[in-house]
Amino acid sequence: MLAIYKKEFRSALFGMTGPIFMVAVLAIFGYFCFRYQFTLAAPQIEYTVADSAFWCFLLAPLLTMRSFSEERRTKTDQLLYSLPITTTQVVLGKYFALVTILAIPCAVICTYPLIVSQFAATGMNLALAYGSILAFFLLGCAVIAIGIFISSLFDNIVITAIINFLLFFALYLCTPLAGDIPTTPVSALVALIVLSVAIGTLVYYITKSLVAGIASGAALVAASVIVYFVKSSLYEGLLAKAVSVLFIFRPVTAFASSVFDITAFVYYLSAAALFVFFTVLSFEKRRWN
Amino acid sequence: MIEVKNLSKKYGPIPAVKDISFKVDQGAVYGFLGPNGAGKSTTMNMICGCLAPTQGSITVNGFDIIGDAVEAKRCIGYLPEQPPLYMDMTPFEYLEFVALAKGLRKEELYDELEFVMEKTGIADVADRLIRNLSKGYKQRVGIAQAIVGDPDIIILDEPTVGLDPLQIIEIRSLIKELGEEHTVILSSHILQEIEAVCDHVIMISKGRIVADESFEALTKNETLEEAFVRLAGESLDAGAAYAMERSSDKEEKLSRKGKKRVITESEKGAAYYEEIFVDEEPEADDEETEDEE
Repeated sequence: MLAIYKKEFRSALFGMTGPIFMVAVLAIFGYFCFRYQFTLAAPQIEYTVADSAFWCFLLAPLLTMRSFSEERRTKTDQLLYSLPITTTQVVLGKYFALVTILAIPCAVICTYPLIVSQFAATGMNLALAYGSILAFFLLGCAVIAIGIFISSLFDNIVITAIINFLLFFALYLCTPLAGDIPTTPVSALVALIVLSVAIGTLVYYITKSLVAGIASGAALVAASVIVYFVKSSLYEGLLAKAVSVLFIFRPVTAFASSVFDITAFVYYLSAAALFVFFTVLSFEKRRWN
Repeated sequence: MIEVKNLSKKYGPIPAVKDISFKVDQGAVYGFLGPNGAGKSTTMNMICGCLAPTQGSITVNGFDIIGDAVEAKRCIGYLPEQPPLYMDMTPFEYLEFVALAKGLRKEELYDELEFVMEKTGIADVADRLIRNLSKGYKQRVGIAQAIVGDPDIIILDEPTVGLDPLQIIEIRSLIKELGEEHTVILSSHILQEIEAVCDHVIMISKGRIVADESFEALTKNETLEEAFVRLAGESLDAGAAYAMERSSDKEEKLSRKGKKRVITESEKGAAYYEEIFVDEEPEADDEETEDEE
């Protein structure tokens, strides 16, 4: 894993994308910091983190788009498969290399609260400031995990980047969308049926077994319908809640409300772990095609 | 060393390798011979763990390539058909990466790299970017990554494709040299190459093993070319003759939409090729598919 990590880190750091990403994060964060901490004279770094997070990570697909797509396009993935290392080690090596690239601008950002505290007339809550920066870093880790997962699905780096950008915009639109979604149990039931059919299709796609696909889809549909008739109150507002949970840029904003929100860390770590796991599965699946 | 048992691979419904079994023993150069599309690269990829078999098993030095993948792969150095090179690295950086990934320790790493670069003749270009190297040098870097770490078995998939005659001679002599200390499996459809370097020939055609014997035994009563044509079902020879005979004979046929069109030579060739390489036992494969389901 260390060999993969070193190679990826060196390739990202001395390539084009790593420096562009690091400079972009620092420039965007710096702009918001200048606006809030200096122009508006608000010492809370949390405000800066909350408002800059989406724009800072908008360029993350640039960093992640090459990680697996490029390997497949140049057929260097054959080397990775034939080396005496596991697919998990390959994915983790690549992932942590990109996380290290993210950690560099975050380390620079860590000096900002100390600088701002020198000028803050009202004093500042450093725990909250560093908590929000940690959440910002973990959000980046989750975003990178999503990025490498998408990269593991496609051969073409441009398509990978476009899909990644579109996904981010879709996630960004989740909050306004959540307000417009009907909260009736019937709407949740319809959504669950659609989701069950989608899962059944996915199972068929992965296993190539029509029976397994139909069985899993039908079981989920049946379970959703049974729950609806037994206790429909469970479905009240479920859809809107589910959509708002998908808004990955929301938990980081909790710190701006002066709440030290540990659930944000758990949320981002879980999302990162989940997508790294999906990437391992996706990379392993290629071997079985 | 390597034991392949009842190995099959299907790409979707299309069988690429059908129930092949063979053994590779220590200390010889094995030629893996067959026409294009016969299943050579698929088999090599499965032996090296790049592809999982649909059925069957492969053991390398007693380690299963799926169950004990890491241990099995430690015994193998593999050069795929297209050398898996990172263009933005120098050969030295690239080999250092491969050596570290193969688990070489720091203290032995640099001596090993020096030895490998000397052996493959890339020491002079060690600090140039791989993207700026000639095809011959890229191929050598590919071979160097296969032999780094001194694996017991070296598998080379068409290592001389696209090289000039001088480079071919150099690579062949390198393979011979490697064969003195390692077991080498060399895949090729170039008969002269097999003739020049191999002690043992495994021939594959239409996804099946059609010959597995020593070079001397195979060429006892006929030349390698004759044996190749005979064992490959005389398919290539017949296909070429067909194309030659009909080269000036343009015929018009009705397409499905009822429009007349000219059947081109390439279409004829493709049709004939399909006829030759199409699965001969559809019933057997259908049964296998049903079993899987």
